[in-house]
Amino acid sequence: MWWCGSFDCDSRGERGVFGSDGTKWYVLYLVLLFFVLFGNYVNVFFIQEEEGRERCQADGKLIGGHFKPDPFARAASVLKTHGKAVAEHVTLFEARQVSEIRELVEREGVDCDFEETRIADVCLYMAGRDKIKADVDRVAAAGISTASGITYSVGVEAEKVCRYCILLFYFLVVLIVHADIWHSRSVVLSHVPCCTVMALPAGSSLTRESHIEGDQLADTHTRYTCLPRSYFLRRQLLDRGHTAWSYKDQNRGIRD
Amino acid sequence: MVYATNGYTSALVPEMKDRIVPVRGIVARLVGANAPKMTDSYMIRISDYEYDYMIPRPDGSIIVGGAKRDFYQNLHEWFDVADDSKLIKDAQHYFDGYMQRHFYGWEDSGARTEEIWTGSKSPSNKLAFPWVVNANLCSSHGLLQRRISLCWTGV
Repeated sequence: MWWCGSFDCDSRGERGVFGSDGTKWYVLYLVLLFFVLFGNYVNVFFIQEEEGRERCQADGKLIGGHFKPDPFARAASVLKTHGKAVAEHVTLFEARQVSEIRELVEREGVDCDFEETRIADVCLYMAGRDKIKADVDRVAAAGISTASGITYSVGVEAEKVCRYCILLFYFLVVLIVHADIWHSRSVVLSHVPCCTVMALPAGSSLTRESHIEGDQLADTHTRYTCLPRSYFLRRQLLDRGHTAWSYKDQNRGIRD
Repeated sequence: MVYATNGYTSALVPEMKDRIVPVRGIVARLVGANAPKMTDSYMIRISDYEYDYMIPRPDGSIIVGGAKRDFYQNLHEWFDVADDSKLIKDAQHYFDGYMQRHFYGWEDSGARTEEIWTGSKSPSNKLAFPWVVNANLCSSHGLLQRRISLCWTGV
């Protein structure tokens, strides 16, 4: 187990980022943007788990982030507990992910695969179908703005739209657990926009744009869960009133 | 600090143990010489606890995750397990013939499992809103998952 280079958090900055996939890079981007907008100097370091990235090589060595805004379930839930205004806010916040990511990719010229698709939400069991129907109806009745983007189909109509079918072989397996599936033709379909951003090049591009390179990037072949406590990064609140990070090295003792 | 480390978060931030629990999942990449072009993403809900999720890729391949049917009963295989170096063996054949079984027009597609791997997701026990914890900022997101664990903390 090793850190790439002699890693020293204190000299690299006060803010660090673990991880590397699409959503993470976007969160990171927003964090950076926040500090840039407010005029704070941000010294950032990154730690990526190299092996985790390699394990995702099945996808062409691209680590992907998929954004699927939820247009009804969460809104319906929040409607009950927090009312329409909060439900609308939460739903729009999620829905904005797609356009925000698109704008980010365009604005920064991020070198990545970015695709917008629709999501077909297919439900194969009756209780689930009823729950979705109730949620969609509740959201529509409340006038939540995303409701208009949902197309709801049942039965043959849904199968035509999404070309989805359960062949007999599979049906027999399912039938044991959910005997009502076949008779109810409980296929439900809803369409909402979602998007995929394949993020390894996106991450690289963002770090380049942020002028973060070289010694501020630290790859590790040490699995996060295998980090011995002696390697652990700890936050320490110091008496002088700011947050510092200490890095304990197994062999060299504690750095503060 | 930003911890964008999925199910690893609780290993790095012990305060989040029991709040962000690592959960293993399995994902495959399907390819087929005669595969039709799929343009939509699909969420296929099979029961309250079981769903598959499919994302088409520009090269015609499909990334699909789920397969809980084959390993859900074996809690030790997936719950509170962050080790994604080993495949979930009970589910390693779940995606074989998946497209042929489920979609019209795919019977002769030659679709097969090209790659399969295990990942660590990080469901939070607080779904509707982010965690707000004292002291720093921490984010966690998972693999082909619908539940996103997110915690914001402020200095």
